[in-house]
Amino acid sequence: MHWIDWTVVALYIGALVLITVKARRTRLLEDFTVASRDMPRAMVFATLSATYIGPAYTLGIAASAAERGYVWYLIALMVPLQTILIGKWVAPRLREYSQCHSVGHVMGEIYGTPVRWITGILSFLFNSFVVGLIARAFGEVVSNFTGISAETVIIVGTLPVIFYAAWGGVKTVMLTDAIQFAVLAVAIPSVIYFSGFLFDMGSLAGKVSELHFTWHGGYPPGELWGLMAAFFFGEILLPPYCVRALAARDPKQAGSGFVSAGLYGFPWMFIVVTIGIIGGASLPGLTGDTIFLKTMEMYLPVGMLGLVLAGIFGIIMSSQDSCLHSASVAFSIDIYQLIRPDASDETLLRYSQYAVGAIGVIAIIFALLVPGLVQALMIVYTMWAPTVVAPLVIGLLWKDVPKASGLAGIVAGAAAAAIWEWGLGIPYGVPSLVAGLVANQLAFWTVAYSYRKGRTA
Amino acid sequence: MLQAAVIISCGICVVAGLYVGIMIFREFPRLRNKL
Repeated sequence: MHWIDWTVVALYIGALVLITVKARRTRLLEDFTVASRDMPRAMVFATLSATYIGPAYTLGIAASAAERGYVWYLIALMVPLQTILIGKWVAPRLREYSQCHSVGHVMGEIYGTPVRWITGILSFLFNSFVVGLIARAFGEVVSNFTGISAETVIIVGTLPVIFYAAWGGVKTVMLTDAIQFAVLAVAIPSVIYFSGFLFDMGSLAGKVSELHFTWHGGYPPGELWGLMAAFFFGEILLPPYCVRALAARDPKQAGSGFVSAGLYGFPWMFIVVTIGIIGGASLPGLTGDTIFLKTMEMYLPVGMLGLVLAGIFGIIMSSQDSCLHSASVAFSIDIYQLIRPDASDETLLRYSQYAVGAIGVIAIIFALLVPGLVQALMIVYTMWAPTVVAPLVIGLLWKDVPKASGLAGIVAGAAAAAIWEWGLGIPYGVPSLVAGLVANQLAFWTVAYSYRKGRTA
Repeated sequence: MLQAAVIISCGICVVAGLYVGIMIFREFPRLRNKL
């Protein structure tokens, strides 16, 4: 890479840190956790879009699209689609819990303290592991592309994130997310422009197989449905997304922020999939996550490559900072506060900030030392949807939900997902997430039905 | 149709990015205090 490109990347990271310092340091717990619940719709839109557009929805989707084509647009669309549905019906209800600081806190209000504990611990583990996972994936991909050691990339990429997440909590996380969104939204489409295919998509058709332009991409129907279900349910109401709803100015702005972010996913996923197909056509034989970066390198002029790489950094950092923040809040609000109910807001704020530093450093150490952990982390990643999501959605929509049904659903979902994944070895190729979700709902409704029956008897 | 979809998608993406960029630039002093 040319030194001008490196300068652009360095200026970008420097500007982010400078803007963070310019934004005032957080002094109130509510500032740190939910940005004083005063986020306008446009900020909810930008920060939510930047958060859900992580490395998986750029580098990962592009790599899959290079192999299978536009079917990956159909699969990836499940994410914006669920975001729209959540925005329409669930996010406004979530925002109505105006005394809550986290998703665990909301679950506790609906289902009681044991569920708050479990959700808090799950949220803490989930988010902490995702911080490490992103750091590792980021290190490997950028190292592969630039030749710089993965260790250096992991440290240099994660330290600024730890700094600004601890400094200003969710307010600086959201501000930097919005900046990162602006950069990535303008920079990434330029790859298509400079590739020369923007006004000449016809010539692309001759360079890849016809399968790339079919709706199934050669997948058997069962596998395709499984992938679509995994994408639809896999990221519903992850803790960082819930924070965006809680931080919105009012329920209406929470809902419309989510709907706009979902709508934005339609063009975004199309661009990413198209870049993947361009990469597949231009670099035959190349597979894996580096295909996106190699396509950039192939087509972008000096200076522009640095800007797009800054956009990629933004994609990664904006997802990492949100998970780091959610893990710290889960620790202080859902775990520490339950152990010390009399802890003051100042103490909780201090512990949240310490937690950001500690989780960030531990995540770096894990990412540096345990590369083989990625598979294990992916399993943790699949544990959120089968446990918390369905009881959370139902609890938000059904005011009189029986408290015991939430716990039953979570326990059954976790057990079924674990047995499906490890004990049975994923039978019929059905993702453990789907099996866990079915078990969750069976247990949830069985308990809810018995409770209602007991009450009417 | 594919051609039109790619051009429209890129256009929407860039316009959304510019909109958020301008919003941050104009609102930063207020956001800085309010956030």
